[in-house]
Amino acid sequence: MTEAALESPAAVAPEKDFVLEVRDLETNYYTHDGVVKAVRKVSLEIERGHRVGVVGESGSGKSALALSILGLIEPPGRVVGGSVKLNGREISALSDRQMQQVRGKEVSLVFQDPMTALDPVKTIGGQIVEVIRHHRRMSRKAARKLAVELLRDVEVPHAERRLDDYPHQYSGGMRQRVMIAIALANEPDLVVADEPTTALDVTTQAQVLEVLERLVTERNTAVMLITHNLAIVAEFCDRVFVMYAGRVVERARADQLFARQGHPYSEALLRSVPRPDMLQRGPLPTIPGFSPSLAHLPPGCPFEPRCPVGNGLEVCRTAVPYPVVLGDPQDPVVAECHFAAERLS
Amino acid sequence: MTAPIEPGSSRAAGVRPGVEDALLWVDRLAKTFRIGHARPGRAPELLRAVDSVSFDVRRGETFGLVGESGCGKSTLARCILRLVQPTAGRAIFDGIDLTALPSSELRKMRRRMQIVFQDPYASLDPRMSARAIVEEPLTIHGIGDRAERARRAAEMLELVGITPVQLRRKPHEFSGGQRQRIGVARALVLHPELVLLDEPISALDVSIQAQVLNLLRSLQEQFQLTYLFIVHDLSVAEYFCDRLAVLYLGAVVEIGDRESLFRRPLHPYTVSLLSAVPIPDPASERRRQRIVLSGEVAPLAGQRAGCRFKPRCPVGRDRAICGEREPPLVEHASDQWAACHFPSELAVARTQAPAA
Amino acid sequence: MFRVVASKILGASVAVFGASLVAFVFMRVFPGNPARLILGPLASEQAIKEQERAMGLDQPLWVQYWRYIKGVFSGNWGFAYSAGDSVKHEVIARLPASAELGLYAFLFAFVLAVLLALVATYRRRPVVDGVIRAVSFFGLGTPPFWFGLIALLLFSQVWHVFPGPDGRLGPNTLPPPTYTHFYTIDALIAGQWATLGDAFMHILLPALTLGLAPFAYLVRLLRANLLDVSRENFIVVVRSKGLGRWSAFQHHALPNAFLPTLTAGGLLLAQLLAGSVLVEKVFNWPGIGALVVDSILRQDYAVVQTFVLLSAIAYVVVNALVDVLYGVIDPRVRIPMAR
Repeated sequence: MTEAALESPAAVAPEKDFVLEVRDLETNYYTHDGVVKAVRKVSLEIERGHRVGVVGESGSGKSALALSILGLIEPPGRVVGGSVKLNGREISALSDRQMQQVRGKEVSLVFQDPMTALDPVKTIGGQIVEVIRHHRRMSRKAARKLAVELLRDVEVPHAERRLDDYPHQYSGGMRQRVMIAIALANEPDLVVADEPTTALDVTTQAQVLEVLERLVTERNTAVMLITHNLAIVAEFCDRVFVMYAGRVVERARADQLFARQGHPYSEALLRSVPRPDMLQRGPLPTIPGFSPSLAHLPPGCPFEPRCPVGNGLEVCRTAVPYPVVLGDPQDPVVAECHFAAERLS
Repeated sequence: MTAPIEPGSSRAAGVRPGVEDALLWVDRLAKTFRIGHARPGRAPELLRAVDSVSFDVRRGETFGLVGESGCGKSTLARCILRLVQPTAGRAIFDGIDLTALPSSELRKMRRRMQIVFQDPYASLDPRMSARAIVEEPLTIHGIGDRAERARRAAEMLELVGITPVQLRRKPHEFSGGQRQRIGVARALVLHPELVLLDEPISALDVSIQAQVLNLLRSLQEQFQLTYLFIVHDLSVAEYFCDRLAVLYLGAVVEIGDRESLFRRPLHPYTVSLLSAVPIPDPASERRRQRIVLSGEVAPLAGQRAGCRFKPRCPVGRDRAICGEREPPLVEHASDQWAACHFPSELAVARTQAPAA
Repeated sequence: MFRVVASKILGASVAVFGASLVAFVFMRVFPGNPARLILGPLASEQAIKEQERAMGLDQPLWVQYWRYIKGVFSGNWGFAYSAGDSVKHEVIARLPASAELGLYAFLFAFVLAVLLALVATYRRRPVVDGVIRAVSFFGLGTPPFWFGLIALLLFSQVWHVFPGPDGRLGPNTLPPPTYTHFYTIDALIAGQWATLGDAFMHILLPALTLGLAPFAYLVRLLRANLLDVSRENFIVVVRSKGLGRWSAFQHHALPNAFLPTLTAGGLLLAQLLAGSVLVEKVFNWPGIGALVVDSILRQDYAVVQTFVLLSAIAYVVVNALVDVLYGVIDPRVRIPMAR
């Protein structure tokens, strides 16, 4: 594939206040099977106080993207290129020691699976106090008081009494609230939430999203919500980046994307979500096949083997699609599909 | 608590007529756990995990058990298969009361009832190959010789979409969806009649969920399977089930066939569950009238009066009768039962989906 | 709470009692007659019968066992024919030597294992990890007596760094006054620095030799557990809070990975305290291991029974300690407190 094909699309209008600007970020994992290109020249930006969804199936590189932004890629993985600007400052070249002042303060992480994201042998309070005192000069007592307030904010009942409990004494939903409390403890500008509700019941999921939504609105915190479920994005985000095989294959405002999809993958993803607001129909539409291995990508469009539009077409099998920029130049839809223009015209 | 029921005695609420021919008839099944130690002069506290649940599943049907975690649906399923000994009631499979069966007989019956677990990571032995995993049930039940077993395992795996070249691979070499397919193959290789699907798709991506559901449906047609489907997502249940029961704190609060239950849900809990599912449409009208239940399923201990859903109920939270009298399960419409003093007071807007 | 403690104590008593019974029965079931062994091959049948009567061997088994148990509780542990002394004296003379050696070996094995496992897994540097794995491989595969001989040869004969196999002290050093029976500690208490140095130099090589295999085992165990834990999600979360690699490791990975090592360490400690024949032979260490082996060969019932009983008690005590530590580290296994 040609390198030019993967270059980032037209520069975005500069006057916006971006919390996060990611340019051509590349992350590889060096495994026995070869080089797994988990993040392939991904660009995205998040405005201050905005909520952005990053959508894709497992194996699309969305978690690797999150860890790359936070500088937490561990061997055998490595960030091999691109830039990450947080609040206008380049952080991809910072040392780990410097990043220790950034993580948990300017940008924090809400991790998937609340069952494993908290240290099982430390108290809930201890784990909240830890992040507070790492970044602020504060007595243990004052930090504990703040921790109680945070637990109240995320609506953990009997916050004071439950501060000294351990994670196994909390339910899944409550643990995820604790995760949100930890992430918001130092009022960061950006919260990266990686599948924050996937392991939860629908009712708990709705509660957790509501708490998160209220708190980030109050604090004007930007959120990068990573999920495989487009419905959650529809409920929560104002902008969507659809990831497939390590690339952002479509980016658009949420209302645009949900109205019409430039990329057939976005359309297929959307159609596979059950709609509880509508009454019954036949079997669910599915995306046939599986995501390609990121170590052995096909020569053309990575979605071609599964694509209802381009499967078998010469152009799709042989040529990597360029990003197609469509619509309002100030706020375009960008889709990496040979047929994006036709689809959106 | 429950008097022994003679065969042919009255049907409990929520059970359809002609239940004698059902493949599975769960009759007032209950499971009580003692929590904490008994102290002198005080009865031990009891947790009613399953509280007199009744329903019937006909051959070829898909019956959904819906509820949040902690509602007792997993305990109920385990009671039916007698992995847990129920405290009271019966589970009658093809005319045979499983709860009264000696364990040697039960082992033979288990061949006819299989289970697919939620977590495709945890339920497959990481050191066994895909084929060995599917062969194992055949070996346990002593079916066929070695070659026969290998052939049947390979056939079943092929049927669920695992190709012959992948037979020797270990679980970690498969994706989550493929692992769940192996779990399905393992359950079906014995050609069971009843398959218990315990949240088989909730650990999977949405796009993969649909694949697995469609696979389960086509296998159902091919082998005339009867499914008992445990799920927390009502919109998935709508796609997949012919009939369902909504469980709250161990008891059925609403039961009925899919058509009526989704057209007009009666119990406020059913409505809230449906409304909690996110909708992939930012412009949707329904977003604005979403009901977010407060609190969590709190385990119910000891005796209490009134409706079990009252503390979280948007309808009955402040109504006196809901705190005084437990609403019985009553048939409000044709084959639609709900345990609520104010059925259908809470409604949810739904539109007809455009033809796909 | 009371129930739990009571059931633990009951379990421990059963274990100790069981061990004593098994040892008792086994010693008597095995072929051979201690009376004949004591009196020699030329003794007459009459003499042997009398010797048997004197030793109580003509009584039924249960009577013998009852006498033995009574003796244990009244402080009469029997007579060691092979050593010609009371068992109590023999044990008091030899057990501290073995226990001191075992304790040093354990400290060496445990502390070094924890350190090296941390170094091996922290940052996952392949070269460091490879070296440490090779060391542990060597440790597990090397017979201790061979390693002891080689160590003596090199460090004592060739380089003269350590003293030869003289036992606990050099020939020109007097034992320190007795407080604890551990020479290094007694010398420290008495302020006899020269004796302390000599005792220390003497115990170092045998302790290393004895601790090598446990060390290698613990390194492997802890390294594997640390690797598992460092892949856990909560480690990523801890790092996302801004903690450095080392803090995350120290405060979160280690406590989680430590539990299996603690269990294994406890069992190893109990085993090391009971002495080791081969290492004691190589270093001329006046420990209990050699005594026990001799006693088994000579069917010296009293010594073996006492040894088994004491070992069982050591196991039980160490296990109880491990249980307590477990609760301190992991809240999930903490004994539920009565409210």
